[in-house]
Amino acid sequence: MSPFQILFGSLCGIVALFYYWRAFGRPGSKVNGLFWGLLWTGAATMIFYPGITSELAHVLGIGRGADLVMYFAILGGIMVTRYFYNRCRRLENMVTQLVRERAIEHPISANTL
Amino acid sequence: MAESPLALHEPGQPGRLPADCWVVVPAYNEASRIGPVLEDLLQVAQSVVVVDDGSRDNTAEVVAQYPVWLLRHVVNLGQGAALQTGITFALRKGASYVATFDADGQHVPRDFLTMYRVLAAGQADYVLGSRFLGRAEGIPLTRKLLLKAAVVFTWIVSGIRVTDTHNGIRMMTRRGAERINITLNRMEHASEILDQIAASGLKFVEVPVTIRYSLESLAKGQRSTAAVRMALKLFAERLSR
Repeated sequence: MSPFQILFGSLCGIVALFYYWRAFGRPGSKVNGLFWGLLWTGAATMIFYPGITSELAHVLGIGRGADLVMYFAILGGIMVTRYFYNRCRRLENMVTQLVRERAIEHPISANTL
Repeated sequence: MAESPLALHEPGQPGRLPADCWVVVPAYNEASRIGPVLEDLLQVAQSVVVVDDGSRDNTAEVVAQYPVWLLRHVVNLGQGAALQTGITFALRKGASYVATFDADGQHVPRDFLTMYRVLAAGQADYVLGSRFLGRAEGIPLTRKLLLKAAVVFTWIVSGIRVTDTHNGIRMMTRRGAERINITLNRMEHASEILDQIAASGLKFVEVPVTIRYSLESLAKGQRSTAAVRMALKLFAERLSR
């Protein structure tokens, strides 16, 4: 096992444990914590057993395991970008609405000056 | 009292828009230019609302000297946001027609008379000004090419065929204005308005207008690089839907 596997694999494992602890150690919905926990567990597994990605890639008809990881990373990147873009737009719309209503509620006309 | 549409646009005859035709003027740091622009505009329009979009100069103080309504954004949001604020205000004031007009003095207010005549005759719900059907005085070649490219871009992306996509002078009926909801705050709003016009299913026509470019208006106007930014923003908007 290489130092990279030990370092990053362990890191991913710790993050996964953190999410499991959050999901099951606290009241409320467990779905979100479970999702992220499984995601990080998957990452740790792939680091410790890189052969898994190659086998998965082969099943899906992709040449190399690294390519499979890259495709999923790109897809994930697009989804994250879209999420933050939409969130940013929602905030922008809220600020705009506030500023607009304030402006409309306090009109100034030549007659009122 | 509202004038008859037939009294308007008679060759050589003066004319004014009726009081229920509101003109929205978005303004940002226009203190040096907006005075003469409003003087010209008030020759034609009776109901004018200026939206001061968070100007850092004394635009609001200058505007307040004229018989117009003034709305103030506490922060700068962009021309699209200012237009929507003005449109919403005009509709709440009972406007039967709503027009938009840039504050930089590039437009000719009398072009509104032709626009109003078209709407009042019930020929359409939107009238869009086109400098390429009319005149574009002093337009630089690069700007002309860019605007032509925008026409093709709009045709492909929005499926709407117009001769001029980013012209700030336009007029719409109340029904048309109620279907416009500008959510893109910056300059992309011009494309969004065309999208919404296309989606509304209401009729639009283009009329020839005059645009007068000056060194001052070109200096403040959109840079050519802004077109790339606008295209990217529109692309991102489509992806995020």
